[in-house]
Amino acid sequence: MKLDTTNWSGEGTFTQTLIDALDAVEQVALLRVEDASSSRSDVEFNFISNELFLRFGTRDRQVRAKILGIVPVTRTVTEPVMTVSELERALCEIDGVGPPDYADAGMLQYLRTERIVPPYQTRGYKLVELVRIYEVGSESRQAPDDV
Amino acid sequence: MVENERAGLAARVEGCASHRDRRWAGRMQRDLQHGLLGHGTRGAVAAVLVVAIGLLCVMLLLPLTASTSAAVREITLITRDMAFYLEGESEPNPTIQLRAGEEVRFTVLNRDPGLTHNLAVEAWDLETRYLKTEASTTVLVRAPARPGRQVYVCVPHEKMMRGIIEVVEDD
Repeated sequence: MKLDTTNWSGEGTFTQTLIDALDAVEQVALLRVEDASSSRSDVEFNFISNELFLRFGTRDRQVRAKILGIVPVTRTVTEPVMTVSELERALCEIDGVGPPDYADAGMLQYLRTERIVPPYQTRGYKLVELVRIYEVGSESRQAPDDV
Repeated sequence: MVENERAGLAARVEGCASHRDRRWAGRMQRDLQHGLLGHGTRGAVAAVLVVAIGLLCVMLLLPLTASTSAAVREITLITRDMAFYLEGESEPNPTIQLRAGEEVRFTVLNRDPGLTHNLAVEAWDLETRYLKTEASTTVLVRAPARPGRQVYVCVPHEKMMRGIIEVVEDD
């Protein structure tokens, strides 16, 4: 798997877990990790949002067809060896990952929260990690009025 | 115009020399004092009344025209990436400024996949229903008459989705 983390700060323990898990899925050919712009922190929380863009490996498949419904031909179709739904099932079986909090045809979303209490402090903060996995080349998800 | 007529009559009265003329002049003087002057007074009173009624109407109608021109303000809050955003803007959990007494229609639209959000302002006893992804709701509120600051939150994620509604003095 080709891994690109140039646009990732490295923050997010669960993100790293996911990267390791995806590395073990041989159908994933490319993985690019980026910090999402929505990451932010306050006194009471630290919100880490990362986005993973992946591309599955492809395979060629011979498809028989008929031109004008008469002349038989054979076409070669290139298709991904895995779908996002299949990836979801594969990740479910990996320890430390489990099922996503949200999934659709083009995206998996994982949300992890934990309370962190630093040493010698009584009051901690909430660490929220949101990781979204997108398949590269799938339909844009940005709403028209989003900025 | 009344003044001109009065001046003209007075000149004619002074110009009469004979007894008959004086009688005529006396009658004219009475007419001047009781007749023409009387008509003038009634006209002036009527004019004052018309102006007063007009002013009263304007005073009564002015608040109505003001209330129709101050239409309900529309504010759309979009929830995404565990934050509130004003429609078309990129600042998370922005401070929303309202004028005292202003009527506002809040529309909350949830664009966070897989997450449920709502909008609540505890100080106003306001809480919308919980919205699933792509669901929206509308709530009509009137800002308090006094300036102040209230916190708005998403109840399930109030640590992260929390902003300020600032009510300022109406100009």
